[in-house]
This record gives sequence, C-alpha cells and structure tokens, in this order.
Amino acid sequence: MFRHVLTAEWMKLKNNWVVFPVLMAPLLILLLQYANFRIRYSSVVKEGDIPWTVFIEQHSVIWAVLILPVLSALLSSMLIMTENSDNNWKYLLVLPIKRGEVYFAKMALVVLFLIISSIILGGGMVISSIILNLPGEIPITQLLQTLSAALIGAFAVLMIQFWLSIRFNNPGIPLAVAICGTVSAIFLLQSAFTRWLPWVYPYLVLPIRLNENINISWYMFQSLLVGLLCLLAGFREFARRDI
Amino acid sequence: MDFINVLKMEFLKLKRSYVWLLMCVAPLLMVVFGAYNFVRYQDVFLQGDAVPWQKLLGQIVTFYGLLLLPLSIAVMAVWLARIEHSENNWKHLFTLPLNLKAIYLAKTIIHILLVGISMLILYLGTIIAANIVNVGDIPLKAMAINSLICWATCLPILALQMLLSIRFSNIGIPVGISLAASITSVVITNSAYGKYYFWSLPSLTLMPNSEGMRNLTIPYSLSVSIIAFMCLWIIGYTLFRRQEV
Repeated sequence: MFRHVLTAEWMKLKNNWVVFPVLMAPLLILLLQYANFRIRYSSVVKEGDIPWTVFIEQHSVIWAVLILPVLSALLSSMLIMTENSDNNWKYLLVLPIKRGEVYFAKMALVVLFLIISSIILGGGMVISSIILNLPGEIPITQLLQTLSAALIGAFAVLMIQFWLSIRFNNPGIPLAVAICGTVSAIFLLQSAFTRWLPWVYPYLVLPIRLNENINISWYMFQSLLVGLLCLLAGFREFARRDI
Repeated sequence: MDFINVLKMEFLKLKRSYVWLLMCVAPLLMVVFGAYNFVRYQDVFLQGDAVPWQKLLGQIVTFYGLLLLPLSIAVMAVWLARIEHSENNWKHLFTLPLNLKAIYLAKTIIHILLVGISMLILYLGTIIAANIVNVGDIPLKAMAINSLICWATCLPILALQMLLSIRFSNIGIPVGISLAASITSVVITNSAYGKYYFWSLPSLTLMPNSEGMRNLTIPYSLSVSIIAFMCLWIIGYTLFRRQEV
C-alpha cells in the first residue's frame, strides 16, 4: 500500500517544477566554485594543501550552511502545498489509506530529492575537477563521507521544516523560519554557546579541517535525535489533527 | 477613493497572518547576533585605527544585506501572491469592480512598506545596539541616508520577486531564484562588478563608507534602482494583466 501512496505522490509532482530547485541548487554551487577555482586558484589552494581537500571543503561549506537547510524547507513546502491549496487534505484522507502512509510518503520523497541533489553535486564536482585539471586522485571516500555527513546534519532541520510546513497552511511561515535560521547559523556556529540549534548541525558534522576539534559524531547523533523527536511530534500532531 | 479601499483590503488580509513579523524579526536577529559577534571578537576587530562603530555596523549589515534582506523580500512576495493563488482567490478578486492596476499597485505598495519597516527596525536596532555596546558617537544622519538608499535599491529585487511570485503559483521558482541570486551576490559583491548587480546594491549601500560604497555614488544607485524598478513593474503588470487565472 505504501508503494501506491508513494506512486500517487510522485504523479502529483509532474508539472510541479520540483526539479527546478533540485537541479538548480547543486549547479549553482558547482558554477560558483568552478569560477572560484578557475580565477583565484593560487589564493584558494595554498602551498602544501591537497587541492582536492580544499575543493571538497569549498563546496561543502556553502552547500551545508546555506543551501541544504533552505532546500529542505523549500521542497517540504512544495510537496505539502499541493494539499493545502483547495483543501485537498480532505479528499486525500478519505481514501482508504493511513495518515501515516501519506506523511511518510511525502517525507520519503523530500529525502529522495535531497539525496538526488547531493548526488548531482558529487558527480558535478568530479566533472568540474576534470575540467579544472585538478591534480591528484579523486578521493571518492572523502567525497561520499562529506556529502552524506551534510545530509545527516540536515536531518534535524528537514524534520522541523516538514513539521512546520504541514502545520501551517501558509508556506510563508516555514520559509521565514528557514531563512532566518539559515542566515543566523552563520553567526551561531561561531560560538560554542549556541551550537545546540539545529541550523548549525549541517556545518558541524562536516569532516573538514575547520572542524578538527569538534566531535563530529556527537553532532550527527544530536541531529538524528532532534530529527526523530520532531518527526514523532509532527506525525502525532498530524495524525490527530482535525482537518 | 477606490485605490484607498484596495489598499485597506490588502492591509486586512495581512492583519491576521503573522508573516509580516518576519520583516521585524529578521533585522532584529541580525542586530543581536552582529552585536554579540562584535563584543566577542572586539580585540580582533579593533586592531590598528579601526573605527568601532563602523566595525559594529559591518558585523550587523554584512549578512543582512547579502542574504537575509533579499531572501525575506522573496518570502514576503511569495506570501503576498500566495493569498490569492490558494483557493483560487484571483477569480474572486477579479470579479470585483476594481481596476487590475490598483490591485497590482496596492500589493507592491504594501511590499515596499514592509521593506521600509525592516529598514526602520534595522536603523533603530543598530542605534540601540551601538549604545549598549558603547562604541561612541555614530553618525546618525549618514546612517539614516544609507538606510533610505538601501530601501530604494531593494525596489528592483522587490519588483522582480513580485513578478515571479504572481506569474508562477509554484513557490519553488521565486524562492529558488532568490536563493541563487543572493548566494551569487556573496561572490559578486566582493569583486569589482558589485555595482552592476542588483542583489549586491543593498549590502553595498548599507556598509559604512570605509568598506562599502566602493565608487558607488548616491545618484548612481538611486537612478539605476528606480529605473530598473519601473521597467520591472511595467513588465510585471503587463504579464499580470494578460495572465489567465
């Protein structure tokens, strides 16, 4: 049954432009960093640095801090908005399916899109490095580790955004929270005092040199924990809501 | 009289929804974090003959102008258009004996006013923060002028976002474009091309003189922004008039 719900959700996305942010986000980062490495190579890669390490760091920091949180908010909003408008929830929930199935089908799709987006970024980085003639072997493990770490770090934010999108009819509220949280994260991640806020996790879990004295696995755990709690709270709220 | 009523109608739509709070919260957040950051790294910032208030202002406005301001404009535009897209309200709105121009103009004016509130809160917040952190005298007048110009430089961004949000009922497009443009502006603002890029102008005008406004004169930024705004507004209105709802 879950598969049918998933297929139904997938069908709704046709003509929904959902591909636009999923493709745009990684392409933007790739283009920016390509220009960055082409024009300012000597000032980006210092003496004694491994070019690939710098390459991954430069991509992953913007990706994790700015793009992933907003992208997860945007995708959650887009997928849920189709139901909020015209009061489609009523029609959807009279079907002989469980509320949980609808909830998790939508969430599964958002996660899937984030993974696709990350894969595009990873593949694009390999292609971009070949065009740039970046010296050295391609460190596939390091690349995969960094990209999946960013995804794990974004889990908490994603669950919060998903909950907010399903809670409020108006997509303005989750988006407002997302942009305020994301831009604040730039400041918040600088001090140990505010590192418990979810918008900071995607950066703190990155296995890069700047995070050397930070316990990465602890923040991964924290992100998963906060994410699961929000998932349960959001699901409980959705299952009991009077629609 | 007719137009005043349309404006009143738009205000009523705003009243019960709390999204306008974003325009107040966003600058406040930046003031608080910027001031906190300034206090934390005061020793680093104040090396040499640095002027304390300029450093404080720099901390507050850098990320506000580059990221948060354009993004919050986009979210506000999405939301102003969303009220009508949802439940197919455009149809109800268009059956009213109103001029289409009045509707579009009223939405733009509300949007401009909301950005104005943001600027005002940023200005007042910076003054309060400067007093608390104690950075000495700050040039109130120059800062007020900068905030006003920044308000004007937001106009083209605002008109473009309004156009996109009304044109596409899908929120992915306006927000996606805004995010892409803002992140690109982080790079472009630091280069020599900053003054040709609309998303860079707000942050360049807000920056204190020593850091920003690199060969960016007041008449230049004002005229470019207002001309671009007029063009985008007319394009937006033409598309809006032809739009099938």
